[in-house]
Amino acid sequence: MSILEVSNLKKIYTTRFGGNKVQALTNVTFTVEKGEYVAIMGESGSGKTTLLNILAALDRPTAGKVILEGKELSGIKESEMATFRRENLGFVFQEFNLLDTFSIRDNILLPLVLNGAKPSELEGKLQPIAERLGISDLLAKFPYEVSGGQKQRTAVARALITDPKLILADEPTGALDSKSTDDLLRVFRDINSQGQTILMVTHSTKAASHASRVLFIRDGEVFHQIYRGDCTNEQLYQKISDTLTLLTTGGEKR
Amino acid sequence: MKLGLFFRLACSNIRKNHQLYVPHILAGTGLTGVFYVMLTLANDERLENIKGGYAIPAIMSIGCVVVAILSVILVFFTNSFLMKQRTREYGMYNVLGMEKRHVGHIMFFENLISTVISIVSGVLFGMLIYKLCCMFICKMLHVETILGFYVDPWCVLKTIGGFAAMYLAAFLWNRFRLARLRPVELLASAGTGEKEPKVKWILLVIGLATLGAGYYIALTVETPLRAIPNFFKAVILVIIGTYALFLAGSIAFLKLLRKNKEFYYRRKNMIAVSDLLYRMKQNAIGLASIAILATGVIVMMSTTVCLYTGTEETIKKYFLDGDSDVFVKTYGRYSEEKDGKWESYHFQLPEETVRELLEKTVKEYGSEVVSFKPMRNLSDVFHFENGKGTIYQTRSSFALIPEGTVQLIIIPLEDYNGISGQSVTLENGEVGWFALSDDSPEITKTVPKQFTIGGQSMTIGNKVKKLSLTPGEAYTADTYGIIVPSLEKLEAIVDGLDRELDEEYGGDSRYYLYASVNYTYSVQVADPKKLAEVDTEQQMSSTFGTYLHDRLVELGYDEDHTDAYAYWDSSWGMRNELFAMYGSLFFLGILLSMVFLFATALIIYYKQISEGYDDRGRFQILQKVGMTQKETKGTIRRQIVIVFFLPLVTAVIHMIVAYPVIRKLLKLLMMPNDTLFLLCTAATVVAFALIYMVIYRLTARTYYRIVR
Ligand SMILES: Nc1ncnc2c1ncn2[C@@H]1O[C@H](COP(=O)(O)OP(=O)(O)OP(=O)(O)O)[C@@H](O)[C@H]1O
Ligand SMILES: [Mg+2]
Repeated sequence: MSILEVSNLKKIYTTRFGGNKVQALTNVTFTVEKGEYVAIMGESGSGKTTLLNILAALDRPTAGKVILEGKELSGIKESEMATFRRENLGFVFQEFNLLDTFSIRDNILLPLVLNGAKPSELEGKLQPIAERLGISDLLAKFPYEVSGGQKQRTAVARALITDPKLILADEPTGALDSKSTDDLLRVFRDINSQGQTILMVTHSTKAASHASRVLFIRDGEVFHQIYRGDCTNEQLYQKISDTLTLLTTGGEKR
Repeated sequence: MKLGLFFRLACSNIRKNHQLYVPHILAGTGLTGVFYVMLTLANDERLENIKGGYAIPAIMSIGCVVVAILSVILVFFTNSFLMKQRTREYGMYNVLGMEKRHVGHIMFFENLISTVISIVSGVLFGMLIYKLCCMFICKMLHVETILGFYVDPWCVLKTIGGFAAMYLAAFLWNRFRLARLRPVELLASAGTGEKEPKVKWILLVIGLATLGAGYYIALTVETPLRAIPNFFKAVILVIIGTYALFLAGSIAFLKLLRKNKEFYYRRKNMIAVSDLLYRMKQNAIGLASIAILATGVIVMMSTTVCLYTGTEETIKKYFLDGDSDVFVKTYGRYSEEKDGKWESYHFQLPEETVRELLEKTVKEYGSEVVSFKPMRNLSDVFHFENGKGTIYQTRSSFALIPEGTVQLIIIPLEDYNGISGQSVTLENGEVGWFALSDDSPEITKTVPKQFTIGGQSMTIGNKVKKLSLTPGEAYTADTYGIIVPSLEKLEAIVDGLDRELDEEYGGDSRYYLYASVNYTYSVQVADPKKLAEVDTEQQMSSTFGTYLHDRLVELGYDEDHTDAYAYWDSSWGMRNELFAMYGSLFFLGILLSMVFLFATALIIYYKQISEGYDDRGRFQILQKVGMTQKETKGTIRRQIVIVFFLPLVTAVIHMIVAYPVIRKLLKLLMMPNDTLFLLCTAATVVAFALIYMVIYRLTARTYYRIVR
């Protein structure tokens, strides 16, 4: 059963002074099945963040449809959107987006509190997730006191705590060193193996090689996709590299 | 050539950063202007020569000092804020390959330009409004308007010199900081994340202790005279307490809230509590300053408005509820040589003589004496021990006044009946009494029922109708009138007291103490308005004094060694004096309040700007995490409102606590009307809150523009 259906998505940005129009997405169509781990790759400026923002309902498309679990995003009222987003989606960003006025614990708990959870329930939900992500010892610290990788794991914990249907990640490894990147990718694979659906935008071939499917975007369209099939990570890595070479040398569309 | 380039760069920098520079320059202009006005007012002889206006220069000088202090604080405040915001830009220049020396040149020109604009426009602004201020003062003092453009070159020079020195100091400080910063530090700052605020326990304890002590002093001051030193003690303690509690108390309180999980982990509270924690850390000083300034404005305005509007009432009360127009007090003094030393004797002039010569004087000025009543009395502070009352000597105004101390005005029965129109009789050995203030307790609380003063024993008898008297000296404690059977009794008391004083202090040349009867007469004239027009108090009294002296010479006193003293206390003289004093105080109150309000607005404006940039980031994250734009705006607005109104609430609480002390201080200034003061205070608070709200609205607009 598909959890996410994206069809004929189009986004045109109009600059502040009206004049210039930028076509960020021309025509994007794809679906994501439940339990899938999808990586989206593409050159800088190809429209990946734009796509993710639309999926996250942070932005509205110019045309096209996004259906999440059978519910069309454009049909949701503005006032209910935030609640919908909180209950169904989890986010991980490149710049972590942690609130520096909150401790690690509070940063993770924030979505739950916003959902109106009872204060007594919070700790019970927090502990297992923190343990799984290896940040149990850091809960009382503040973002400025922990490393980038720990920050990103905090962000992942924050995304997971509401049991979202879909996790959206925009270049989650972009600001991390290779050790932290490996840690994070392991975390993603773990939670994916437990059934969590993940959609991740990335520039890193290594990160993408952990996914079960890789989508390539060029000029605002889905240009190509690779299924893992029976490949090992290394084999998938090779396939992705080849495709990327093809992309940059300007090969023909599939 | 090269300097020209730096100059042009500086110009364009100022234009680019107008959001920061405009308030900085406006503040400079305003402060320079107000300081110039104050200084010129303090030196303008035309004002000093207004009837009763001798106090104006002194009052305006106080204003000068206050404005000067505030100027230093504000100029350095805006300067440091400006520098904090510009540091990154300077760092950028440095990193891009400009030498620090050259960055220094740019900074110099920026400072120079803003300083020159501030001072020049400030002095011009001051000159422009000076005339307006003069007109306004004359209106308030009920005197003819002083016309003509007035510029005192000395004041101009002093103003320019003073402010230039201040700005130079600020520049040197900036330059010093620039020289010490390394480019990395210049560029850093954003993205490092602010440390979590810690509770400063020592500061918290200090704050609680000082505020508690200040409030305690304010609330327990009993007598008006003690109110003066205590008031200042309390003010200083409360200022320290306010700063300390804003710094430490707010954070301790919010952390306590955060500890309470049931409260903290709620939609509404979680974000508000943590954000406020950081806001308080960054703004505690600014907010505490606003609270202090706000309290200052409210106190200044409520008291000066009250004094000014209550002037007529004060005068009426002072002159026996309007039953009198002039109090005259006279005595003669005769000096003679004894064993090579000059000694002088005081003696009284007969009542009929005083009356006759007074009628003559009044007639000469075109009016007539309607009534002439003796109001002879002894007014002093007494200390009672074992039933014996002695004159109390204050060693210093800060000394504690012991229990059993009270001010008495002792009046003979005949004078009391004459003035009050009553026909009181006294039992043998008893004295009548009344309390001057309705708040005072029964006299027997301090004075024993059986007591002696000056060797004369008396028993406290019936309470009689209150006379609207104003004691000669300030209220020291509760003040009571004592009615003794006769003038002879009063004189006997005074003689006895003199003997006692002589025994105690006679050998000590530091004290020249004696008790004496005030031979005061209460005079009513037919047409006081007319006299007010022709007399500047001194004229009539000196005419009267001359007549007295001539009469003494006629009576055979030695012309050269005899003086006649006539103290002349007229309602019109008092009116001139009070209007001059309270009018100029009122004016000072208005002007200083405007400066304070301006300072408040400035602090708030800069606070909004600096918070705006921080909040923008938070705003975006919160939306990504799943809050609607409306919710986010709601939380942020709620925080801003709390932070904004905290100082106002603090100021109102301070004012409520200070209210009783100020009321007592006003009594010292003979302001008897409590209702009027309550009204003035309430009106001031409301007016201030409204203006504050307007400032909030205006600055909030800038804030939301940044956040969006
Ligand atoms: N708010 C906006 N207004 C106008 N144009 C925009 C806006 N956001 C993005 N664009 C443009 O849309 C195009 C796609 O941008 P997008 O951020 O989606 O790229 P991206 O694939 O995420 O790139 P990167 O890998 O560098 O993050 C770019 O040409 C960009 O300039
Ligand atoms: Mg992007």
